[in-house]
Amino acid sequence: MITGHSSSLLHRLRGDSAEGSTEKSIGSLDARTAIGSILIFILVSLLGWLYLTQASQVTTTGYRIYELERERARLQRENAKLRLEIAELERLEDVKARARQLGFVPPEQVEYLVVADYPPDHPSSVQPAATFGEENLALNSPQQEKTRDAAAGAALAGWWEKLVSQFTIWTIVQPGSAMAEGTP
Amino acid sequence: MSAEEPQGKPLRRITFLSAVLFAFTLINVGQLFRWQVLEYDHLLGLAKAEHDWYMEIAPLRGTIRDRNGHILALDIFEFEITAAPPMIVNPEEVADRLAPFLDRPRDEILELLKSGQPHVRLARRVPQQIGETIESWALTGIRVEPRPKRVCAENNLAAHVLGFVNETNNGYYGVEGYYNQVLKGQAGEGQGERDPAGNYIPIGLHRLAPPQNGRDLVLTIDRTIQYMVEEELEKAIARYGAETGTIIVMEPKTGSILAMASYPSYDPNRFAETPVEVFVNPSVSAHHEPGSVFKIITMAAGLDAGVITPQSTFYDSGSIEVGGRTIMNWDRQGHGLVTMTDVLAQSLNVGAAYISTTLGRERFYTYVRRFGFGRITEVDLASEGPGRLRLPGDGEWHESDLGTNSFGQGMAVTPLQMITAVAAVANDGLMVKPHVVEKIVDGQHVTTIQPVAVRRVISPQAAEQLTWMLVEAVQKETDLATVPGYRIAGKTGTAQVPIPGGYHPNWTIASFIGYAPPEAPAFIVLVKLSNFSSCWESPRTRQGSLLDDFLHRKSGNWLRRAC
Repeated sequence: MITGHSSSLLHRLRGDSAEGSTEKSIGSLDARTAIGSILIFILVSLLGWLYLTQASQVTTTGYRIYELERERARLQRENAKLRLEIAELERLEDVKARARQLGFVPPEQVEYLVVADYPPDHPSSVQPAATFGEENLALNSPQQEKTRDAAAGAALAGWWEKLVSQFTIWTIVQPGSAMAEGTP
Repeated sequence: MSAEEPQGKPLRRITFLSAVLFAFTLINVGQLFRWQVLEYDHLLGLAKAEHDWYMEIAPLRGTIRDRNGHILALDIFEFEITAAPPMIVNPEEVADRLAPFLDRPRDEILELLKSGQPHVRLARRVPQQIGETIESWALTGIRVEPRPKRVCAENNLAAHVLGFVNETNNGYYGVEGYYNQVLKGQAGEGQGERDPAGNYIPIGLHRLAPPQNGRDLVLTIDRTIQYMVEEELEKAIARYGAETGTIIVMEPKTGSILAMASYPSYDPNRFAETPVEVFVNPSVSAHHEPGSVFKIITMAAGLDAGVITPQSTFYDSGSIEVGGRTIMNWDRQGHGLVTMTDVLAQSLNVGAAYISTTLGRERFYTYVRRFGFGRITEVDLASEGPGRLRLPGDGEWHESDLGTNSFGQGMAVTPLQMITAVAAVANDGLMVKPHVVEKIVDGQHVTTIQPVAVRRVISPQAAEQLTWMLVEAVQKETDLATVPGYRIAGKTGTAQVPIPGGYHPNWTIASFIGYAPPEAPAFIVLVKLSNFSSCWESPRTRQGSLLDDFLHRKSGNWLRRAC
């Protein structure tokens, strides 16, 4: 009886011990799973947050770009409208009418001063093309442009000084006419 | 049997329910098949029309300015208003708001909004202010799209030089036609998605290829000279009752055209209301008999070939026979022993025929061709014509043409050909290609068009001799063409108007070409009035009156300025 009871107790004891270790292993597995799940959850949340932040950023930037594009287009339209307004205000017909309104009249008599050495504003000669129909549009190089501008500037400065001195002499000789007709 | 009844009822009910469910499922599957297979393309199109947007973005056409930077033509914006009726919740309210702005009856707009079509156009060419107002309302289902519109800021100023632009952004005639590809630019496109309310979805498919705007042009035209020329031309037309007229002002050294005006003209902003024939620029496309101004060319040929000098004399008996045809002077008189300068001053046809016959057909026509007659000048304007010139060897040429051509009859030239030829004399015998565009501007990159010499037509010595002969001729021919204090080299001309079977009994073409100052010509002017009835006693009186009008009284002022 004792033996039977003892063996049964032993078995129970052994059995309990195995069960305990299984429970223990189950407990540690659950903890790992939970930690894993939490980590996955955190990772997914992080990724979700990252995605949402980026998406939100992209959306905001997209709207901003869209709005800026619209603004640019609007300003371009406004610019075109203002350019037309300027051109219309400068229209010769209107300028003439406005001048008349302000009391301006065409001059009855104009005095002209003939100025020696007036600088030419265009090249004096051009080279002929080889044959008719074969010539192409010759384009200025920037260097040629600069040289020509510098020469024209120097010539203009000399011419202007001559003009001023000539005008001064003229006003002394004919002060009345200068006053009456204005400067040419 | 009664015991089986309670078991049979649920079975029938289940069977019935199953049948109903089966039928329902069948209908669903059928509908899905219909929507997703049979009507797939149609429904996809509808969905795309609702969610996707695609827009071609029109480029801005290049601006055209005069040589001093004043804007002559530019693009502004108008708007096109369209609607997507399926997206509009309250069509009545939308129609009420739009009708007062769109210049269209409210019921008409409402009908379109209720049409059920995916897309309808409500208005085109809506002014910018109205378009932007409607845009600011942000109405769901209403699209407001800007469209460029060409505007000539000075209305009809230099209309023939500019040409016009139609609704498809294509230029015709003038520089708009000739430089269409330069001015036009390249269209861009925008593509994206929007929500059912019509709002832009920024994270959806989005693509924007901006348009490439056209390049700007800076013309050689001076709008002030152009304005004065047009004003004077109109006055002269009214005074003499002429049908048409042309004035060209050019720099002989560079070929730059400073002004080019013709009457009748038109407003390029209203090209749709203009008769087609008025679009043609008579300065480059219409040809006429040049008359006595062509004696300049004959004289140039004689001087350059060495067959005459300014002092050469010949006896003018009043007529000469060339190719079996008797040629007489305009006054049907003989003038005795005259110099070559007298031939120009008195505009003697017999003297001109004497020179051409002395030269002989080969040399005479070589010079005529060298001066550019019978072929285009290659000016940068659309629709240029070559004129009409019969040459020996052509079936139509006759021996008598050698005589009549020498004083500008039996041939046809364009005004631009004529002024370009005489400009060669003014430019020491060197012919320069005429042009109206000075610069092509592409953002910061500027391409300057340089003068291009075509060929030497006569020697500098011959050109100088002829210039001083023309100065003397103007002084002798009519003092009305002179400007006190300045010398002008020039020649008047009258020609009859050819009609089928001969010449018009009354109509005349009167013209003048002159350049100044003769030492270093800064400009050359051609004036031509056509198709007016003569009420003067002689052509010389008539020319004098014209010169009086164009040069002495009015143009004299700007001739002085230009000097």
